[in-house]
Amino acid sequence: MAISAPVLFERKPVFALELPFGQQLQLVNHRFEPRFRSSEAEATILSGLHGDEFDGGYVCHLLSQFLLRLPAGWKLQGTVNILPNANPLASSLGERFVPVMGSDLNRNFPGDPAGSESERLAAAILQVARHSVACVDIHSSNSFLDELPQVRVVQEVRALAWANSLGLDVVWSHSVHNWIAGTVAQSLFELGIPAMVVEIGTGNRINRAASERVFRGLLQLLLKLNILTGGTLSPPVRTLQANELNVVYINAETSGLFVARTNLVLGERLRRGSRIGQVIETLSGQETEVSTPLDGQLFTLRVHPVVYAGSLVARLVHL
Amino acid sequence: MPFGAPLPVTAQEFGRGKPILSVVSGLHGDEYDGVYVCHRLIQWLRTAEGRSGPYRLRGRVRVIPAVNPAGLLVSARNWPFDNTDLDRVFPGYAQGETSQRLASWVFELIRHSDCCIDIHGSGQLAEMPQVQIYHGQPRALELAKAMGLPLIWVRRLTANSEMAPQALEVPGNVQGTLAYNLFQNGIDVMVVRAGQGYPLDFNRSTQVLDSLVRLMLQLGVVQGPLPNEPGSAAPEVCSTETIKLIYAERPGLFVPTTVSGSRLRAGDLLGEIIDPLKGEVVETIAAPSEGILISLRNHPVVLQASLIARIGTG
Repeated sequence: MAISAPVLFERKPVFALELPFGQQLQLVNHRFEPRFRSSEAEATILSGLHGDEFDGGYVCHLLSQFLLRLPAGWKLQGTVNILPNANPLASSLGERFVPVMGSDLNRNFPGDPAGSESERLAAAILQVARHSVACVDIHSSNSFLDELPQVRVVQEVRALAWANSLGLDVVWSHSVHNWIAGTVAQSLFELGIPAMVVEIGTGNRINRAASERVFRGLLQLLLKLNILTGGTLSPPVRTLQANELNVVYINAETSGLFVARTNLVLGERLRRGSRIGQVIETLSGQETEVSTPLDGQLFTLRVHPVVYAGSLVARLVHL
Repeated sequence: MPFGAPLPVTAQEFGRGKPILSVVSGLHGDEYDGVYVCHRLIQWLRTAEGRSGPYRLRGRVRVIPAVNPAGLLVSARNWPFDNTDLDRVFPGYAQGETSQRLASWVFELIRHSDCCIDIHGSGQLAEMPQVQIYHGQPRALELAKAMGLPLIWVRRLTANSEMAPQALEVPGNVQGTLAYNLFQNGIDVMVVRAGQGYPLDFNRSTQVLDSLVRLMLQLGVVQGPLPNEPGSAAPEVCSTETIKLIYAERPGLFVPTTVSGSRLRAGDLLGEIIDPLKGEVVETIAAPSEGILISLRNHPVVLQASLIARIGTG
């Protein structure tokens, strides 16, 4: 590999909390800047707001390694912040939420530097991201669902264009008045920064292929933002456009164990009435078929076998 | 539920006609104080309905004592299977996940009430008996005053999640609560909080039960005499801006040296944080100003910046 154009790299602790029994929580930012010229623009990539989601950590690692050893021809023109692990204590304990207090970090934004532990952590994360032109927040799904690589974004021209440049399978947009309050994406939106929420795979796993796609998507986004130059923009791929009106939710009608149909894969096009699987009641032996009420492309599938009546089993984009 | 287990969530109704009062508790599975109060309320209402005491029912009272039976079984705050906070999924969704269905069922059952009460106990913090209402519900304030609990906390939210000016609360943490959604629907709603920890206490629950009796009298749901024990004639009214939050500066184990509900002068000791590895006291926490101790931490484990206490200085 050729020696890259000079990049200034700093692995910087930006926030720390002291924990009982001699432990410490540290938020680390990987900051990449051009060494010999002023930075054009800034972008922030963050992951791990939920401590049971690890794909984002792998994506951040791939991106950090790439920026450290830029291939010949590539140049860093702007600044990239990478927060590979935004909720370190939760991930080290394998928990989704901030331990002890048990609150969802991604409901505590914009946070408060003089507030509680979750609010301080949220404020520190927002402080890193607040000078960016764009921000990507990488999530895996929880341990119940498997997701086709997708990006969730607010319906705004710039945000939609950037979300599409990631080249993932689905762009799922929502209107400006349909925010989940307290998320980092909403807080950034209030600051005028488009945030793209990437969702891939399943919690507590590394989905390598999908993570690598997100990594390549991030390079495309950084090229589009002119933060990176020298690479070639790949031709736009056909991304499924999901919104508030065309997503079909399929919920289990009865409780039991969900067994997916053999060979069912995410991304499959399903005709109305096609089988998705069945819910079996192990004690009574009762079987209930689950099928799709409309034509559509499958982008979410349940992986946790236990279902209650009403549990989400699958989601499709109506075609 | 899967594996043949039934999920018993019951609602009891007493009396008929209007006005209607709804009382809910047990949304959080680690808060048993409210469930106990509901038990005593049901006993009280049964007596009133049987006309064997001095009270007569003139309206309807609905009681849902335990919304989160699975959580209560295993002492978990959230709905255990998917770790969902039931008090964050309102108004719910009748065709959705179990947590959403439960929320929807509760919400539909009580949304046409004249007044709703959600009783919470103590989780990580011990709470002095208090009523929380939302700013902008003047009738709820009057009703809360009539209840005679010693403290009323008037909660006030910002319009969106942008930086909270003047210490108003951001909605991220309350969007999805039962109380907030009832408030949004124009129902007078009060959150009662009381509890010192796990052991249930007859006398403490009497204080909350008496406050519910006063509320029922004020609403005209029942007729009869005021409870024997007088309530607070002039409860302290605090708004979010006047409540001081005290956070730990150092991590360790918190040892309280006072109890919630105490009157504090500036400098009064709340407790200390110890480092058991070194055998040292790493921080002593004192009241920064005078006021009333609304909440004090129960849970011993504190991180740096964990919430220790709320002090009403209004």
